[in-house]
This record gives sequence, C-alpha cells and structure tokens, in this order.
Amino acid sequence: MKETIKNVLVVMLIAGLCLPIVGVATANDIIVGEISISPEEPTRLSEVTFTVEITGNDIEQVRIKVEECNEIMCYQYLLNESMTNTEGNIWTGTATLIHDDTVVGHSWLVIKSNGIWYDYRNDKTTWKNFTVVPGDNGGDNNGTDGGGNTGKKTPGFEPILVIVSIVVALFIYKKKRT
Amino acid sequence: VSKIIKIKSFIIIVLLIILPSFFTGCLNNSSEENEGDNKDLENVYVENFTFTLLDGNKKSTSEYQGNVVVLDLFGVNCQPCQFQMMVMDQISKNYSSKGVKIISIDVWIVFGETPGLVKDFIDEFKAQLDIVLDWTFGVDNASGTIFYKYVPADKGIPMLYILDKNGNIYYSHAGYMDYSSLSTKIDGLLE
Repeated sequence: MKETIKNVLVVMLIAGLCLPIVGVATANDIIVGEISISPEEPTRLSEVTFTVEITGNDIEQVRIKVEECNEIMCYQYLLNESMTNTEGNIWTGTATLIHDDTVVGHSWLVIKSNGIWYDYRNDKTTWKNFTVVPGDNGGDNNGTDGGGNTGKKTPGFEPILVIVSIVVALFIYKKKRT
Repeated sequence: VSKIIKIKSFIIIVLLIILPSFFTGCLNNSSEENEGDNKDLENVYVENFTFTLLDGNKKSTSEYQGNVVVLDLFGVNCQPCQFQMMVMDQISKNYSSKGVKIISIDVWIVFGETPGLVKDFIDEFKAQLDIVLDWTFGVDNASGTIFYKYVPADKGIPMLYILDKNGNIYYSHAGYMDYSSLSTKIDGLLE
C-alpha cells in the first residue's frame, strides 16, 4: 500500500513538472477550423465572405488569401484581406473577386501569432476550393470592351465611336460652312 | 470673322475626333491583352538565374547554354499546372533526343510550398498515372524571386518559356498549352 502511494506521488510529481512544459509548448498551437464561404458558389467579381474558427493563444492578426484560377491558369495576384474577430473564436473577412473568368478559387489563412506569420496554405483543412459561377457580370463579355483582366479578345465598339465622331464632325463642319 | 469661324470649326473637329480616342483608350486595356502569349517578353535575354534542385543543390540556367530549353514555372497546388505536366512528359519523350531540356520550377514556394511537396507531387504522378517526371525539377526561393520576375502580375501559372540556345526568350505563354501548340513552337526554333 505504502509502495503504491509512493508510486502515485512520484507520478504526480513528474506530471506536475512536465505539464507546465507541455503547456508552454501547446500555448502557441493554433487550431484552425474549416473555412466556410458565403455564398458557397460565388459569382465572378462578387464579394465573398469567409468565416473560420481559430483557437489558440496570442493570435494577433488573421488574413485571408484568395487565389483565382481560370480554366488554364492560376493568377499570380492574390487577394489578401484582413479578418476580424467577430465573436469568440470566430474570424470573418470579405474579399471581392477580381477576375471575370474565374472557375475555381482557393482560400487559406495566414495568422500572426507572437509576432510571427504562419501560412496555412498547405493545411488542407483551411485551404479550401470553391467553385465560381459566371453570374450576370462575368462570362463571355461579348460586345463590351471593359471586361477586366480576362485577356480574352472581345469585339469592342471603338471603331463605331470613331466613325460616329467623324460623321458628327463632318456634319457640324458642313453646317458651319453653309 | 470667317477666319475665326474656320479656326473654331477646325478645333471642334479635332476635339470630336480626339475625345473618343481618350475614352476608347481607357476601355482598350483588355482588347490588347493576349491569349496567353507575352509578346513583350519575346527576344529578351533571360538573365541567368539560380534555382534550387530538390536535393538542395543549386543549379544555374547558364548550364543550359547550347540547348533549347522549355522552362515551366508551376505550382503543386495549381490544377492547370498538373495538366501541363502531362504535356511536358510528352515533350520530354519526343524532344529529349533533339537536345531540348525541360526545367520545371515550383514558384509557389513563396506561398508555402516546399521541395518535399514537389517530391510528393512527382511520386503521385508515378503512382496514380504511371508517368515518370524525369526532367529537372527545382524550386524558387522563399522570396519568390523567379516568380515575381518571370510571372507577370496580370498572368499566372503555368508560365512557359522557350529559350533558344543562347538563352533568349523565343516564346512565352501564360496558362496551359497543349502538346500540339507547344511542339509547333519548339519545332519552329529547332528548324
């Protein structure tokens, strides 16, 4: 009996010594939940709201990075928006998609803790794909020429404007002369 | 008086012609965008740069002088880049004997990708698709030196460059490029 109590006390002592060390080691651990996206299938060029639960101490800043890919490439430029701690461990941020040919988006977090930024790009729980649907303000863009960053060659109205201006100019000139 | 009227008319005409040009100039930014080709980058010498091989050793592009090089800037987590790898595999099979060298550099190291991830990527290709990606693979540095220099801000990856034997950019293309188009470009250089 005496031996058992002695063993328990030794275990408690060792545990007592180790726990603070473990506590310090895990204090910096950040647990990131899955990012939820609203709407789940955003339209191109629209605003998307990102919400995520993050638990951990010393979280100073959270930013959401959003990458847009069209059918043939993923754009170099990333959206990089700050998130705010809305309640408890919930962080929310919004980003407006900037390409009108996006089909897939990827989002992930970068978190600043104790002065160090951690990138969660390769953390599959936070790196979330979302499908972007064409919507009203994107897509084929036929007939307009201000369609943004698609790189698509779409028919424009510049020659029409030039022709109309020349006709008007000639008309005014003729009128002035008569 | 008639002279003044004439001058006024002339000014009005000039303004009417010029003003729409201003507006069309503002709108014109997309129509001159390319379909993936970057004409402004053609015939430009690629400054020799060093990249890190997957085993940690450094390699310089200057070592490829005398060879036609297909430079493929990619990212593991970029889906179009994965499709591009299949094309690069065909290029490797059909053009290695003609002295064409392929260099694939992961430029998304700047976003947290690692050499280990690239190794896994190569292993996955072998395991899942039985495709051996047997050309030179490397990674950019954590600052994204190659990424920011050779992937234009309004473009993305995969970003392909065909370099001639002197290291000049013969052709560049942002985005996935099929085998037929890419091989035609290479043939044009080899002729």
